[in-house]
Amino acid sequence: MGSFSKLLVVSLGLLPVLLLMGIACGGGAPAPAPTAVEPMETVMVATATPDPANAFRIGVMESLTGPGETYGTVSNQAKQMAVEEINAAGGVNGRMIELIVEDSKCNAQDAITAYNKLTDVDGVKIILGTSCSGAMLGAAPLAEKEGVILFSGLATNPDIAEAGDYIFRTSMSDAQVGVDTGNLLWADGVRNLATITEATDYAEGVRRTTVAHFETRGGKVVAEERYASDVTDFKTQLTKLLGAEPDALHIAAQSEFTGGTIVKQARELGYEGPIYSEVVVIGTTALEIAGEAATGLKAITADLDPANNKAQEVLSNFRAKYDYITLPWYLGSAYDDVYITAECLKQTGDDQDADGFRDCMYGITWSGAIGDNYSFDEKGEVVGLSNAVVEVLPVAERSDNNQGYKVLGGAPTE
Amino acid sequence: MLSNLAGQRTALAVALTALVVVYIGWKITQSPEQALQFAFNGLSVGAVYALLAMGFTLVYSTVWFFDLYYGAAAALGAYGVFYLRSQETLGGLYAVNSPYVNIVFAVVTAGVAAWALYTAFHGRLRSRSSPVPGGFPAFAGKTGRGPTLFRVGVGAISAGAGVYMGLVLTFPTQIHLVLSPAVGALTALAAVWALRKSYRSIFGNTGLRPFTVVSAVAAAVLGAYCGFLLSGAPGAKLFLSWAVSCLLAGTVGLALYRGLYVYMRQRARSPLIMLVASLGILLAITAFITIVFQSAPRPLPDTFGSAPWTIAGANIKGFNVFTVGVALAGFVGLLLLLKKTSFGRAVRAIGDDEEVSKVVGINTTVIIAVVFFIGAAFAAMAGLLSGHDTAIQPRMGLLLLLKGWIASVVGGIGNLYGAIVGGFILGMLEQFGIWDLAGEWKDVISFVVLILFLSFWPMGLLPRK
Repeated sequence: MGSFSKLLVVSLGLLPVLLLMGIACGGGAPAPAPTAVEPMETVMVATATPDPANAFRIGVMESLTGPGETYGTVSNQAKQMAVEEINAAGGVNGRMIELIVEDSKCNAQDAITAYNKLTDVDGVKIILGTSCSGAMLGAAPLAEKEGVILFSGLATNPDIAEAGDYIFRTSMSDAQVGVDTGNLLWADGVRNLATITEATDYAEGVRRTTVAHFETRGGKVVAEERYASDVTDFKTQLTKLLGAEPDALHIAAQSEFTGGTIVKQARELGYEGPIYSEVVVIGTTALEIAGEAATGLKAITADLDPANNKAQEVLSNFRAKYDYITLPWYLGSAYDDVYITAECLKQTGDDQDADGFRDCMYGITWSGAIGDNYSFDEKGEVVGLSNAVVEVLPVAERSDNNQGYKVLGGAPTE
Repeated sequence: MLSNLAGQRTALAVALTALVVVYIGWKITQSPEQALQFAFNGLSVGAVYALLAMGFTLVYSTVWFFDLYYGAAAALGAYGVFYLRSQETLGGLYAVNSPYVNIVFAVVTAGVAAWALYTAFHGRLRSRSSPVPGGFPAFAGKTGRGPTLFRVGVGAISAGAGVYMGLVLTFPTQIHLVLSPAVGALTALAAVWALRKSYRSIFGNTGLRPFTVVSAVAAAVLGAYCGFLLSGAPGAKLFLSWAVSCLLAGTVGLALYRGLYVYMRQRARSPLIMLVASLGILLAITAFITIVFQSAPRPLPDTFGSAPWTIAGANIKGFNVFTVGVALAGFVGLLLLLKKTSFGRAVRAIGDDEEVSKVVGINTTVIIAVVFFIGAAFAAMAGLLSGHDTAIQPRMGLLLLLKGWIASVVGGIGNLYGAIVGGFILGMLEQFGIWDLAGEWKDVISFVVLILFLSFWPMGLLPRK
């Protein structure tokens, strides 16, 4: 019995330890891994010429580490680029713009921490961000209550429309993506759909709106699965989905990584049917991971108009500066946000005047990288932009110029 | 209460088994293809669990404590491959190569090499040196310079090993060139050893020395040829990166054993203290990986066999078959090592009674060190195979650790057969368990299995005798 009692001691000792670890690290939520990644400290953009102390101070919150790092990073870089351009051209009313960057990660908790840091410590009243819907929905109630502007170029959850007077975005709501995807599925003859969804606000929003519209058209969801953000093995869930013999598979992912991996593993399981998704799964990282498995994948996404000179100029400047491009539309959206902010600062002349800034936003009509003559409605939602249907190209035809996919045209409305 | 009554436990076992069998049987009749698909998935996942459980079991049955470092070893193995391969194969998208990391591992390697050389040769040389004329000159004694010379030699060789490891890590794209001399030299050594051993078993010690000299020449030629072949084979880079990763994870495991556990084993009264220490190490290494590679999940570069094979309506990747093969090969290799070699006898003796083993002249420190090394290398192999199959993230070690641990509890802690059986059973249960549940419940099923076993059959399916 000697070894048996040892065994008991060890087992009993292990259990609470493991439980603790499970609570600390697992949690179910899109867990940002334990500490240790250095958050990007306040980044000051060169404010050389007139008077750096007198700069407009603008907060930026992006998901720079963890599940949302791809788009948080590209968004932050686009904003830095725009600010550098504005400052190099003499600033706004002769004053520089200074961005104070915080890592909001991809969840409400870290977003609130970042928000509090920006408003309490740095005293900013205008915040550009965030890149994740979950983070946005976490910080939005605080911003609305305290009268702080929250202006996102990426967050797309439909609930953000109702978040309040001070909350704006240039990103189109998932409700629109959902309607467009539902129509596309129906138009392509899909009647039985299987869905796999990351358990986050953004992905859940995409799935809900897509399925809702698909079902009103008469379609049927035959199987659905959800997964936590830190899962890497989807084969079991995919096996179940494919066992239901759907006409098509719909992926709603929050991170490019999981999106690309699901596409790859679905093909590895022998699935040959069509796959539908949205912007995340056609990102550079996702396509890199999925490789040939992604060929033919269709997605509803906001895409930059090849005929828009401003867009092409922004993209080539960005490539020259950072040597890569991903999520071009969102890159352009983040870029435009800075210019819209600069325009409103020109009118109010005060970075502490959130009310004046808000009124300016409701009145503004803008033409930038993501489209011409767009404006904001009474909910702070962008109007005047539209989504496109794209199809992923074979690996051999993918290049930096086409982002790996070709635009098939506008989203079907019927 | 229940757990004390053998009859009730048996009844429970029968009931549960019947339930599982009936459920799975019912599901198979519903959809045989999907059942086969789940079985294939279960096999490939189970192989990874089995590899981990074998590493655990080996160490547990020797020193009677769970080294949680093996979770970190799995992550280190996977990230080692990522570190060595990503520069080349992922288009440099996430290439990381940091001189600091290289220096850390070079220093660890040098330290472990120094300890290994010192421990392996010190005693042997000293015993040879004594009054016998013609003994090892370094210990000829009277001048007293022998031991110094020996130390300098050990220091130089281990510094060389450290620098060499640094070179390997610094030039991962040229890994086949950098490693070709080492592989050539190892081949030559192995050939000499094998020739010498077979000669000895046939002719005894007569003429052994001249034979060794002659065979060394032949072996050197063979080694040089192997090294030359390797230097022109960039395709070997994948396997070399695996070998280096396992070696590194094992080396770190050994360093932890020598630098930490040896002292704790001398002083600590309870295995719990070491358990907590190894938990700290697991978290520290996870944090280290997060700092170097960031917390987001990453893909490992494609290997071979990613196209699915269709068998009776279900699909399996060639790579998964390979994974199962690795697990089985690891099992057979470990079994042979334990049952057929003097090393294995020593390991089993230490597991039975460490003090007595010491008394009868077994160098327990060395044997246990090797056991730690092998265990960590198994965990690293499991980590990198699972990484190639799916993806890697810093926390993967914790998840794999838990699964490997559950597998070894299910199979019977300390029993090698139990480890492989437990691994595959856990893999299968996880897959079939979520047939009617949502996929997120996969981990919950493992933990329910764990709790059942800990409550009613803590010795597992195949208890250690």
